[in-house]
Amino acid sequence: MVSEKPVQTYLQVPWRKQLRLIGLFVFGLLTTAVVASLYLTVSARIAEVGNAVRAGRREIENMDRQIAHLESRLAILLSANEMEKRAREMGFQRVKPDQVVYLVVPGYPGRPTAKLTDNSAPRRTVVTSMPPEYTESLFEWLRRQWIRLNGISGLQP
Amino acid sequence: MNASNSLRYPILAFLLMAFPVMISLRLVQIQLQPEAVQQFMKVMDDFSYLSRSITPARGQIYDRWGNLLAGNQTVYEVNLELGEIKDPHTVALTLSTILGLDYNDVFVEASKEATEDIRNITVAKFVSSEKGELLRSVIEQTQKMLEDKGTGPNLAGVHLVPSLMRIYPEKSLASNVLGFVSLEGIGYFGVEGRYNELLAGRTVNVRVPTDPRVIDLPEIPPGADLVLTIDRSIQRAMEKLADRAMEQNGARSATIVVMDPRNNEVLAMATTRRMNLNDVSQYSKTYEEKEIAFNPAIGTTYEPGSVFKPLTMGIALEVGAVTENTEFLDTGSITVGGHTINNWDRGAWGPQSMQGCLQHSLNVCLAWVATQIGAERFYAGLQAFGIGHLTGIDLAGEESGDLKLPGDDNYSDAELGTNSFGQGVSVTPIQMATAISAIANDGKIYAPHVVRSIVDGGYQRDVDRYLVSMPISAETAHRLSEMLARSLEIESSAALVTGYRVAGKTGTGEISIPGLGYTTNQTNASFVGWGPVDDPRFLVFVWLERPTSSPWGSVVAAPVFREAVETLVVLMNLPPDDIRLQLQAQAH
Repeated sequence: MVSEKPVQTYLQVPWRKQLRLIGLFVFGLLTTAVVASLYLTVSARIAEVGNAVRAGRREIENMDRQIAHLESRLAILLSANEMEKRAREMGFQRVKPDQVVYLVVPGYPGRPTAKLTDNSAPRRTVVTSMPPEYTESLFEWLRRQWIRLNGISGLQP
Repeated sequence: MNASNSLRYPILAFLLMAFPVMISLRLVQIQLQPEAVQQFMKVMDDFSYLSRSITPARGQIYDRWGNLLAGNQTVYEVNLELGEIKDPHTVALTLSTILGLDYNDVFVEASKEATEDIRNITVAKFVSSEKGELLRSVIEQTQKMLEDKGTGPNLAGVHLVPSLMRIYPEKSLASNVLGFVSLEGIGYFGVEGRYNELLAGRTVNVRVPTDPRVIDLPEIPPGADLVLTIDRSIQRAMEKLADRAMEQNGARSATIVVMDPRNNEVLAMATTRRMNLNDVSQYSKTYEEKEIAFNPAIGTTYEPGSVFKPLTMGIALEVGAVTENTEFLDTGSITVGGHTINNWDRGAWGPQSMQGCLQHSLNVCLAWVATQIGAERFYAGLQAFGIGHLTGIDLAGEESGDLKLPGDDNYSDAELGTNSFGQGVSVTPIQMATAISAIANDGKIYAPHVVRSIVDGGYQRDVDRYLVSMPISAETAHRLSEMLARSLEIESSAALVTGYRVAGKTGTGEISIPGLGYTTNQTNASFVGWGPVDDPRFLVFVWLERPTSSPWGSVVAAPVFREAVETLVVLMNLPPDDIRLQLQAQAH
């Protein structure tokens, strides 16, 4: 008896094979496109925010400069010479020791010396406008979400 | 399949393989060559980062009440971006009209072609904010016209870069205390020089990433602000008084120092030599060419004369060499170390108590007192008063004066006698005022200072008073203070102030003229005083250099002290003694 090697008698029709290949390719392409577009979107938003932050800082620099300039202009207007000139124009005269009347004002501690800032607080608080989503990696985001979810679930009874 | 077809695929496969292999080989080659790595890193850096030098705003300086004494103003640098310039004529015409630049110079610069090395040219620096704003407005207007009509004058390529520059709103007020900042941003003299690093902050060269996703801009903190102990109103009043005193007495210069003896905060340090700090070029004309100190109150030394006597008496009382009631017979002369000393009037004043010696300012008596103290204890006492040392005041340019000590090459035994009444020893006004503050402040000397607090990093830190020495006890200080107050009262001194009890001492320091020796024709007239005697709030030191109206401190300097105190008590809200005591009794 002659044994014969079994031969597959059924083959997928070629168009189905091609369709499957095309499907896989398209799936791969779409996946790549989605990832690429996500990456591009996030990058673009980070870049946009980055530019906004830089523009903001430039604006702060400009405003700091303007404030310093205006403070100096104000100081010129309030300088001792100017104030004395104006006082004289308004008819004021320098007081003599025997013209001064002294009173006791209970609780008045005297004229305080210059206090330019609050000792207990920094003059400029640095506030970042960038949400963490723009700066953290995917793994950091996942870790943060994990901690957040666990934390919330841990609080629930 | 023919032969050409059979080769086509292997060739294609070879090429496809060869390309990545070549890239890999190149990568390996680069890795093996450090120079190549550095070169590539540099190229990468050039594209990834921009180098930028960031200079923080210089800290501001305020007086004790918060009045701005040194601030910052906007100035502009005008740059021409050569590659952008389309109309050199308009550029030159505009800049010459607004900024006063030479038309031809600007035209030549603006007509240049941009090269790899020169892309832009700075044509003007430190342009005032007014001119800068005007130029900016003209640029914007021409730009708008150009956009609307499509033709017209074109100022493209003209750029304004703003920056901050020092400005002193009070101009010459307290110029000797403040110092100034050069165009390069370096502080010289006074507070600006002493605290330059603190005020200037730290200029940093940073590499700013070009990638907008990288928010890596460093926060550069501004320079620290300073609040001074100086009171603007008192400073101004004392400067006016010094100017007037110099003029009325035909003096070469006048200096007035006002301090709070309780902590030696300097309330005013007035000198007649001042400059408008907004015009740095005045420095060489005002000081450098004349070879005079920027701040004579700390930088000029002179022989003080009799204002020194309270120090001698203080040491004598402290060591027990004499008491207030010790009698001295003044015969008109005394020989110390082979040198004969006479009184200021060359007269003999007969029997005198120590009170009388101070009251009549007797050189002979004080020289005798110094001999009773002994050289060792006398000079130790003077050093404890700070004579011969820097006071350590926080201003740049302090001089230490000269005090010869036994054992020094140029010391002679006669120095003990002459030093006792302030000759043969040199001091600065601040040194003298600081030494005398011990008598007004229970024997304690605090380091004189002009900075009251420092504002840095958002925090204001007050500068603590610093006890330097205690040359005499509180008891000695009170006794001496009383002796000096009585001296003024008995003498009906021109320094007395109605309603306020003050203590003090005149001084007439003779000046040694080369070839002639000491002469009363050329003197340094001084007065140092403080008050109210029972609760001192101010100490005033007056120095008139070479007055011509009279050589005597009692004639020229004492009235200046009185005027200074009359102004001070109003500005410091100090009621007359009787009212003060009455108010204090009410308050309690």
